[in-house]
Amino acid sequence: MDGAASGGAVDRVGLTLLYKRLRNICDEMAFAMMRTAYSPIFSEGLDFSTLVLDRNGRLVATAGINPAMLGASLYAATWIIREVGQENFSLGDVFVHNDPYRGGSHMPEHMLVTPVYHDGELAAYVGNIAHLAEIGGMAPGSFAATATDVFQEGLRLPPTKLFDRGEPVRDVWRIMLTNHRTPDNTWGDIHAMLGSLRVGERRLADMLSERGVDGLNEAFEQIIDYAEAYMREEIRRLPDGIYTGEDCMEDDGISDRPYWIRSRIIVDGDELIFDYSRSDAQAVGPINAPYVVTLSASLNGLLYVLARDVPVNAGIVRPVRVVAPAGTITCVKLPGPCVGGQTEFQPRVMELVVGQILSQILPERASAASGNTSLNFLFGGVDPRNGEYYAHYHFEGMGWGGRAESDGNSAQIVPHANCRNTPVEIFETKWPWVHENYRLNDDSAGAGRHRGGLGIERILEVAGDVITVSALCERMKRSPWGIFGGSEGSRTNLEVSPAGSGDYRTFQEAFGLVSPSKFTNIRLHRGDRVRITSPSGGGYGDPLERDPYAVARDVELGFVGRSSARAHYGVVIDAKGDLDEEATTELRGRLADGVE
Amino acid sequence: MAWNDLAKLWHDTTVDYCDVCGNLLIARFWGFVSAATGESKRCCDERCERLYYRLREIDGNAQAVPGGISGDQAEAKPR
Ligand SMILES: [Zn+2]
Repeated sequence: MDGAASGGAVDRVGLTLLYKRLRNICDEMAFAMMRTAYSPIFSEGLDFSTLVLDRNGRLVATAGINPAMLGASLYAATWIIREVGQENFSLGDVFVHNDPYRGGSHMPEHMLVTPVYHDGELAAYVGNIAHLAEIGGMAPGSFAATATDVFQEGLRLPPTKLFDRGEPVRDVWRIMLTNHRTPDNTWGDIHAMLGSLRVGERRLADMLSERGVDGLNEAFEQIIDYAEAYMREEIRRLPDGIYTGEDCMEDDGISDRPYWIRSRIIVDGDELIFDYSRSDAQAVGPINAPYVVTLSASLNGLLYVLARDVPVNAGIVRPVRVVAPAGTITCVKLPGPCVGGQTEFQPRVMELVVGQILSQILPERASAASGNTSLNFLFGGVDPRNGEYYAHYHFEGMGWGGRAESDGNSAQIVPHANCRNTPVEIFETKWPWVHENYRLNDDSAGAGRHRGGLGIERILEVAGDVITVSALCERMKRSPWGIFGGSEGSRTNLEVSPAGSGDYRTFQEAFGLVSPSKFTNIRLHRGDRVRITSPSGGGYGDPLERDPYAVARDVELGFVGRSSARAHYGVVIDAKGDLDEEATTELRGRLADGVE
Repeated sequence: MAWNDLAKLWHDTTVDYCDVCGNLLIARFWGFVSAATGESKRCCDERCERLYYRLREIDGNAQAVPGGISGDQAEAKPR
């Protein structure tokens, strides 16, 4: 670590080592959670964050797990402390909080935070945020795509004591476990979160015995100052000006109309303003974002293009302002629903920032649109194998956008979240589904000098008597965009086929729904099949500039069809499967002239 | 312009938003009266008051430029 903010109490080398140590604490907290959780959304999906915070609740370090939680990581703990009052914390207290109207991203994500003391003095906090797979509400999996207020989305908790001086607050536990459909999972997953906090506390105790409370907090301040200085330096290099762009959510599950997000980025010396005040009013359905989600999306976009190596902490937000007026889709007002803001709105805004706006000044750091949906597929029911109730929140991998330096990744969870795919084996062990198919969706990616990544196709057959399914996704009406001459990627599709029939129709057609991509509580029966097709990424740059050998390799691997190679890339593959250089040069010439 | 307590009763669980940036107001807010419109504003802190006037200033400038764009926008455009 070096730069303008180094020096002072800890020298540069010492500061770097200290920061790495804090990152390692966060990583160790993450592994503890991953290895002890009950739900695959933790153990396989890694849908969580781990945090070290200073004695005022400011973020000092976080594991590089889930950037989608960045806004909540920056603000939620500070707000818990401010609302509860620092004087009301004691050794052994643990607070829980999932309120999107108090700094949370959406209700399934629960934050736990506990104070760390040294010789009786408050020294720091450790915390984590994790997505519980089921928290009640109108749909199993707690992703109610047709909710019209936040009360339909599950059990909302303002900052609430889960442990009081080391003792469980049983009334609170019982309220939570009574309102969640799968209380055993909640019990196990929250204990995984508690174990993660214990790891953080122990490791910080070691550092406190070396440096003391003031010494450690002075070092924290230096790390935060360093991140601020880093960001200011990067922003200062950008040309001053106002840069604009817009994209939309295709519908809100309640009415068939798009909701527009209009952003302008104002670069002003070493400061930068994201202004969303021209965006549409908040939606009736759950695609709205709480303020911290819009903040997260903006910062993640900025970090992607500007500062991939900056220590992620409270310093990064100091030179940045986000204007998201309450009552717009970018800052939902109580009691508007918002569960889809985190998974659908956030990637849309992050990629708007990266691929449509900052690409105007930093094309070499930009990327085309990914499939840009978490493709949330929720289900629940009684498992005939053991008679127990289950519920799950599944997200799907899709293609990422092509970027300046490479093709987009294939079959990967949406870029703002970093989560992992859930393996077929876990899927079939945990829930009564059988896979007929799980494969890359060949020949679907947006063409470009760097093509988009491929989406997937998954076909699931119901192996229980009844499964209740819901979905909340995007990109069924509007394709992922390409940039700088790259082509659009392919769209999402969600289809159903009744038992014994080979015919697939969209859920919208089969069940007469308002939206093809957002629906709640559809009952499927044994033998029914669901086909999930995830979107592919858009292309970056002119496809005719793509290395023809890369196209030939794509054809060999089945990623690109022969006819697509010819039509989109001007690449001719001969009968033996080899690149025909001469024919390719000739065809590309004709395509460039617009003759073909 | 001054700090004010939000002064909520313990059983009042409603939330308040900054009039400038939209962020959550907790426990207290920074109040000011807009010199331009005379409206009372409740915001996060002095930074939000400065942001309010900076945005007004920028919009005043931007209105003179077609499309509301100003500054050194690079030639490269997406799509
Ligand atoms: Zn504010």
